[in-house]
Amino acid sequence: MRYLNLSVPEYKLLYKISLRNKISFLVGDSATGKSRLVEFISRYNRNKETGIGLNEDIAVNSNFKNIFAVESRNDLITYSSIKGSLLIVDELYMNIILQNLNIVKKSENFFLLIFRDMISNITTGIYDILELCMDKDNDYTVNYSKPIYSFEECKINPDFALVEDSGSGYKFYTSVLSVKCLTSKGKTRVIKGIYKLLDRTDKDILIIVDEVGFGYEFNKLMSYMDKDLSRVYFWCPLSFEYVLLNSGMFHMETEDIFDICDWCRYSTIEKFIEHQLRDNMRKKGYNYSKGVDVTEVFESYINTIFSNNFDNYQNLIK
Amino acid sequence: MLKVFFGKPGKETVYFPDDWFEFRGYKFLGTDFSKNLIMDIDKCEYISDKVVSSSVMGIIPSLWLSTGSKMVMMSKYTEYPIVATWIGDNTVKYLREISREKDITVIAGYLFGLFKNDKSNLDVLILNTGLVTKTAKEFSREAFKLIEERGVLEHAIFKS
Repeated sequence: MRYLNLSVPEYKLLYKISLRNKISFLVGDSATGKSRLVEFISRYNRNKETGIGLNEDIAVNSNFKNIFAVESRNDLITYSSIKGSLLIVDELYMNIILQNLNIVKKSENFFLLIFRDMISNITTGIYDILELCMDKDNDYTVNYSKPIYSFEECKINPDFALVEDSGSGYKFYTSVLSVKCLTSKGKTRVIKGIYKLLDRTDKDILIIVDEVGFGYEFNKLMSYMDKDLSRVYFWCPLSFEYVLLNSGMFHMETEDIFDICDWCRYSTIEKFIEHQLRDNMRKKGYNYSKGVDVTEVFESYINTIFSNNFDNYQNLIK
Repeated sequence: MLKVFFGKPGKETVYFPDDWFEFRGYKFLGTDFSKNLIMDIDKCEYISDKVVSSSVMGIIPSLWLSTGSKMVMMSKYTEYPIVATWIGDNTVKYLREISREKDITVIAGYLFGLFKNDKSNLDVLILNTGLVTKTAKEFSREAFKLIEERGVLEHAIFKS
């Protein structure tokens, strides 16, 4: 986990920001201190560059080498090429990002985008949509980041499972799950699929999506849905490849997958996970590519996969 | 009435609320409406047009007030359309209130929380279609249709 701790003794303010993925969004109510964070970062850098102002005015503790506030296209171009940086962009400057998305996508640096209006073609994880919460620590006000969405574990008895994947994932779940499995053929069609299924059945519906790519859609679903979602249950593993990587077939620590990702080589965590799976499967004598049916290969690990994720997994699988 | 346009802001939109506030907005801060607004949203007490007292940070320049509060003041005291992405859901109740006294226009690239904290009916004119929605359900259905049909809406937002 990457972190940024920033303290401003003059105002007795402390920011604690934790970031998992390369691109995160910071959203939430007005007056929670989002824009002020950007202002403090700008001041901190001005202090450093000019020598005016004391280091104690704003103190930063982070495992990023640099933290920059982007306020112009030049800022974006310059800072995105400085390795080990976190670039923070306030919503007032969102047009800079919108017009230069390629720079963002190609950069190996981390971005914290303070945009309520999330961008559909920037891949975002559900847990990468953050808000600032406020707490008190002695006489300091602490603003800490927290994912706005969280899931609770529960027992389910679905009629249908809707899978975002139409390739390997869909083939796998169709073969394994005891309930009727459907594919939405992509994440952008999941919401429409949910609408249809809610009309089709009175029972529970299980939705299986890749968490690291479903943030934008999930946020949209939570904003627009005018139907009762109490029968809709989500299972959101990082990705289908992550499920396989975590199946017990390979001796690999996957908990810190974001920390071990080489962001110079992989533009997204999905690509890194896919590469890890392909490598590990090759070592075992198998080839993996998207679309291939891997059910037989993982047959003896199916119980592990589902028992890791569901309390009542025996009902779910054939 | 509240008018919503799903799409990109035009030339008449204020792109930098801070600049508007610094040069034209200060004078609206001393009104009862604004004093209540900043107390509720920003937890700040009005001292003078340029200085407020924050319950978190102490005495601060009023320019440090939230963008959301500035946008609400703009909608109350000027005819400028406001941009949805700059207003948090906690400020929406003020837009609802203002829209009962005068016409205000919100430009949105996404479904902002117009009915999130208050599900009561509100007449909303969708400027793209000319349709007046009355309920949260009608509004979100229209918004969903418009944004889904024009998939590039969000990223085209500031290109004009």
